[in-house]
Amino acid sequence: MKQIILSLTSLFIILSISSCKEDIVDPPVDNEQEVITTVHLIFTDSASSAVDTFSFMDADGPGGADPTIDSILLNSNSTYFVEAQFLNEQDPNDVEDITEEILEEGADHHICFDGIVNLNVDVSSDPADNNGFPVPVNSTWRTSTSETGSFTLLLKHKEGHSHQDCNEGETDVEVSFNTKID
Amino acid sequence: MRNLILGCLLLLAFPGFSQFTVTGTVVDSATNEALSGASVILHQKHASTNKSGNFTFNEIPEGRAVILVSHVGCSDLSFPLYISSDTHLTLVLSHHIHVFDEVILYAHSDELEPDIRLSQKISSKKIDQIGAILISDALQDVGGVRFLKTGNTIGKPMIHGLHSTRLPVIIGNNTLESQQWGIEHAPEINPFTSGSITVIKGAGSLIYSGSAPAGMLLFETGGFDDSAYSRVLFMGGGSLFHANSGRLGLKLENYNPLTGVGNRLTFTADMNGDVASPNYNLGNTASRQYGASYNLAWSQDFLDLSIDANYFFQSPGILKASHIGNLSDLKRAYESDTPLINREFTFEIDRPFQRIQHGVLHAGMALEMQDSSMLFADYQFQMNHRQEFDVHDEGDEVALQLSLFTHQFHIRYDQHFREHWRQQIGVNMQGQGNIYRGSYFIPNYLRIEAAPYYSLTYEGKKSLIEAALRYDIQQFETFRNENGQTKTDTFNYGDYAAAISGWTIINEDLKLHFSMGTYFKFPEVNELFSDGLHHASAAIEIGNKSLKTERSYVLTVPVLYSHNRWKILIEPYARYFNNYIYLNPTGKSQLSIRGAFPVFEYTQTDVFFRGTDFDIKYHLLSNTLIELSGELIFADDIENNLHIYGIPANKLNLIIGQTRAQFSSLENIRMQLESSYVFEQKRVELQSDFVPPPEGYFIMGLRIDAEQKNIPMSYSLRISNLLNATYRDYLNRYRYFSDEAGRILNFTINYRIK
Repeated sequence: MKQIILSLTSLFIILSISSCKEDIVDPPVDNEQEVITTVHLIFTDSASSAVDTFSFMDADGPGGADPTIDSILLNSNSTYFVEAQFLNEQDPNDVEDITEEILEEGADHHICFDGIVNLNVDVSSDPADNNGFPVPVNSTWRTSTSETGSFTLLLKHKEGHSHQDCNEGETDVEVSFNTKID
Repeated sequence: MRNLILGCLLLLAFPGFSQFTVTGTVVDSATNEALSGASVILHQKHASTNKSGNFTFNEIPEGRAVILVSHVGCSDLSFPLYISSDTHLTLVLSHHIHVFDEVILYAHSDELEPDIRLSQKISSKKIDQIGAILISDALQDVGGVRFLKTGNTIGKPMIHGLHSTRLPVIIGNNTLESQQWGIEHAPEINPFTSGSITVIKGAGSLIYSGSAPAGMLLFETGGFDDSAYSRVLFMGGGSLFHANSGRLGLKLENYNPLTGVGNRLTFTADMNGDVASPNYNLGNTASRQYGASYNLAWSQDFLDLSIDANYFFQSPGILKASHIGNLSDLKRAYESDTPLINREFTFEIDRPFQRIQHGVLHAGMALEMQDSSMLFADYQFQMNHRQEFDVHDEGDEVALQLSLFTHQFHIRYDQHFREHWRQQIGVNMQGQGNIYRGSYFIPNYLRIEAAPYYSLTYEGKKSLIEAALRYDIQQFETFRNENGQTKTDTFNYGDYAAAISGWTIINEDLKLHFSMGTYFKFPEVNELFSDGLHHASAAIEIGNKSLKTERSYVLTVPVLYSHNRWKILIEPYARYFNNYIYLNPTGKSQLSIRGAFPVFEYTQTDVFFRGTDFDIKYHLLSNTLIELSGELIFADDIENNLHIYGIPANKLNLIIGQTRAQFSSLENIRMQLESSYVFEQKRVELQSDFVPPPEGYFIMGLRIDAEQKNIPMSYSLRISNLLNATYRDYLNRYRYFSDEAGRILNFTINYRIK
């Protein structure tokens, strides 16, 4: 009985569904939109021009494998030019640089380095370096004393962001870096 | 049965000619007053009763005829006559004694028991009258049905804390197949275009589904009156104060008894601006709804055929403030007194929003065979297309798109035998394909299901017993692209459901119902395959491919007592679930680029639901009713000794209702003042939620329905949240972000042309 019912049903279904079956059994690659998987902080020492990159990487997005996070190591009493880079590396063959978009839509984005003052680091940025917006994608960091601690990089999104308050807007990135200033 | 009861029929015969005059009087049984404005149809002639309740038909030929009496807001009554002389009819109509019970009908035995919540029906007339185009509007007055809400537009029905795949919705004698697993997905059905709704509890549900431990919602397209007619119904309505909306509906209907062909065409359009709470606008809660349906029926001696097409469109905006990036955003949104992202009132829908379309094509056949048995066959195709538009995208870019195609076939043989017995045997068959685009949430799949069933009913004068057995088999194959390779998983499930239910009349005041049964639920695709961040719930949800079939054991013993002015219903229930599938907070959190998110995993446990609904009515005067009702529900994970998440809080309702036969130029006036108290849900586990449940709240509502004398026009007016209270409800997902809507006045006008 069970066999008869199942085979009758199968026949009926196969006849009717075969038209779109191709689309079902052969799905394309997922298309996650505007996911940021990677943050690079690229530090250039103003004195020596030495370049150091510290990263947060989570290629499979939220869930799945755990992210990898670098600890930041800086020299005291130094000046660094810092460039933040935001990438979508979900598909290694098609890495998307989202930094440009953040700069283009600088009016709707904001970046903060929350807790950085506790490390005695002075961060300043010039809108001229950031497509005319007060969004510190490119900034200058001045370290002073030796410190150990952490700060949180926040990327916020809100139409017409005030660029004053880091609690404002929706969080696109919230990443903490352990930092040692030696 | 509820409105027009033919009390007395007097035939005064005179010898005469081959053409006769038929006269009559329509009187109200409660007041003995003449009823004016009732519509009477005889031999394709139409008459309305005058102020004295009289009607006259001249030149009626000798022979058989059908007389039809109707009234706006009432179900039509027709009965056959043989006219061989001038005739006078006295029709005594019971018009407004049970008006507050008008949503209530008993499935098997209308005349015996019109007033029980075990099988409640909302007629399509009632739906027209209140202009219900959302399932939550149509069912809002039905006791025992609650809603899991995402704002004001998306409402998912819930009975005794059970919903989604545990509460099937039936259309075209098959299950409504849509993306019902999501908490923010409501059933894609428009009551105005889809006909009546019946809430079924008990063994009768096994004809349609084996996973209905709490009951099911059955939609049926209405039949046609048994006489030649054409009718146009206009419905117009809107809302004011904390909501601004307008809606229109049109229903065109005709029937020709000579050819047996009936047609019905319906349209609705509804446009809602942002809803507001008492203190602020709820930015981007505007929405649109459109619906259309066509129903063609043809009936000849032994054969009825019907074709239905139904289209549903809904596009709700998603509250801007509810769009959050991470948990700190959610906490900030919750702690803020006003929504963090907002906008001024507008009718515009911005991102984020959803767009949902559902199309149904149904062909049905009913064949009456010898020995009065019937053969029913239904074929149905359903297409569900859901698109979610994220705040970050632009233009027509879709973040997530799911398309579900379903073919269904249902054959049923229904036989009455040996006077009191009835048996039904049949099979449901279904094939389904799902395709997703955009971000991953569930994989593509193909699913084939078949389910034979058998049901046996004994219907005596003082009792009814119905027993049913059903076996479902399901083959389920999923397809997902992982790194360029298609990964396939196959699942085979098979399980049975069995139920026995019925009632017995113990004495003239006391009626005892019972329903016991065992049901199953196969794991749903999201429960098996979720893997990632669910933005709507700010949690990482992980599916489990080794989930087993869930089994439930159900016992309900409703008791109905009615004596003089009292009518009391108590409906206690107990439902035990073995391997209950649910989303369990693991207590862990996972770090992502947006910070840490709590991890929830689909898992299984043993759960015990129990509680009681009660409803006490007292007729203070013949036209004044006081009704106290309540719902108490408790649900626990008995394996781990924990409370279950998302169970409705206990609720008490007090209704004072009054009816008036006439007032000024109005008649059949019904007024109802409703007060509800919803308790705080204290039976929760704190780690399973981000914030504690909202406090208890008290709200009031007012409802007035009336008909116009002499004109086939009716009015319905509803004021919700009459006191403009500021509150949040545990069952609304927006409770993290905003208060509930403030006072809303909603009105509907119906105008009928016959």
